[in-house]
Amino acid sequence: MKAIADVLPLLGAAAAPSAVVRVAHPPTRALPADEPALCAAALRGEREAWSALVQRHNHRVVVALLARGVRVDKAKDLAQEAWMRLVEQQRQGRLERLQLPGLAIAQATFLWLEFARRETAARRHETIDEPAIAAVLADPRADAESRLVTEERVECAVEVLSSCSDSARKVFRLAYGGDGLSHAEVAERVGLSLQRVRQILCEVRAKLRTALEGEEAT
Amino acid sequence: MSGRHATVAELELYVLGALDADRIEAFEAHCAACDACAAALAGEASLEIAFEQVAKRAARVQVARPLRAVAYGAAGVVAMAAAVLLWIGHTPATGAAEGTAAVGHAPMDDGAILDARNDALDGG
Repeated sequence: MKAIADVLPLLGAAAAPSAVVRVAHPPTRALPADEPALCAAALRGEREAWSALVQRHNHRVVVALLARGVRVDKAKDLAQEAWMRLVEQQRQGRLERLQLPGLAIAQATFLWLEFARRETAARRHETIDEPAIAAVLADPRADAESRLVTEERVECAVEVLSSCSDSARKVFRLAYGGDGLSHAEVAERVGLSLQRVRQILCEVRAKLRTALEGEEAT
Repeated sequence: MSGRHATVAELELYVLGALDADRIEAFEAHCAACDACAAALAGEASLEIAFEQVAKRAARVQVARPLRAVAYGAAGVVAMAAAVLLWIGHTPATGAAEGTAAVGHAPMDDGAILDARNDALDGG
């Protein structure tokens, strides 16, 4: 794995190196450019656009790996490596569409499964046929993580959510609706402070935790 | 292992991307080395991802709501049309008119049918 310092020039973040080093934590200011424009610019190879997209989506990629049980240091390395691969694919003209964070998550998940396979093979001195790797190879956009929670619990959580206040539901929907909005952007849209938005998210989170974790909840 | 264990609040703030900048380094170093905190962090991350599923599902429920209003509106129109037909009619050839009336009458005393329809939309 390359050190982060080696990755920086590749991601074109020379102007704001500290920003990429702390990529696990999105900036508190809202990004001005909208997602489609940024993706289009990134597909043309514009470094600033890549840098902004990494800033915007990297945390989500790291969280996806953490949810798979990857240690945080490894997760950050893998996420960084995944972005490098995407940039490399774009340079070689092998990237036609850019759907984020999905594509970066798929790339990072693939890297993780490959790593896990190598580790296992090294221990057993044999190759193994990991079905999960086969699935990712067959469809890199397969949303394997969506199987972490049962439908029943999601239904239950939706019920709980509907009992929350209108503003809480709106904040939740904006934050988790798949638009990749930062909390600052959510705050801007609903006209609340960033602090209040996070407070609301923590409150909703506490309510949904029981519904989603079922009997494991304390 | 380095540093103290992560608190639930810290784990939560971390996955929300809102942990204090000056705590992040120690937090990550600890969670990289501590089995219990790594597992707890994985749990919080899973929860974060599950929220996206909840938001997606909730959005589908919300899209179905306006349809319910439309359904009530349409049913009302049918009911009025049936009433007008019956009033104008007064004829013995009421087979068709009664059929219409039965359909038109339903929403006035039975919202359950529309609820069922709404549920079907939610589920679909």
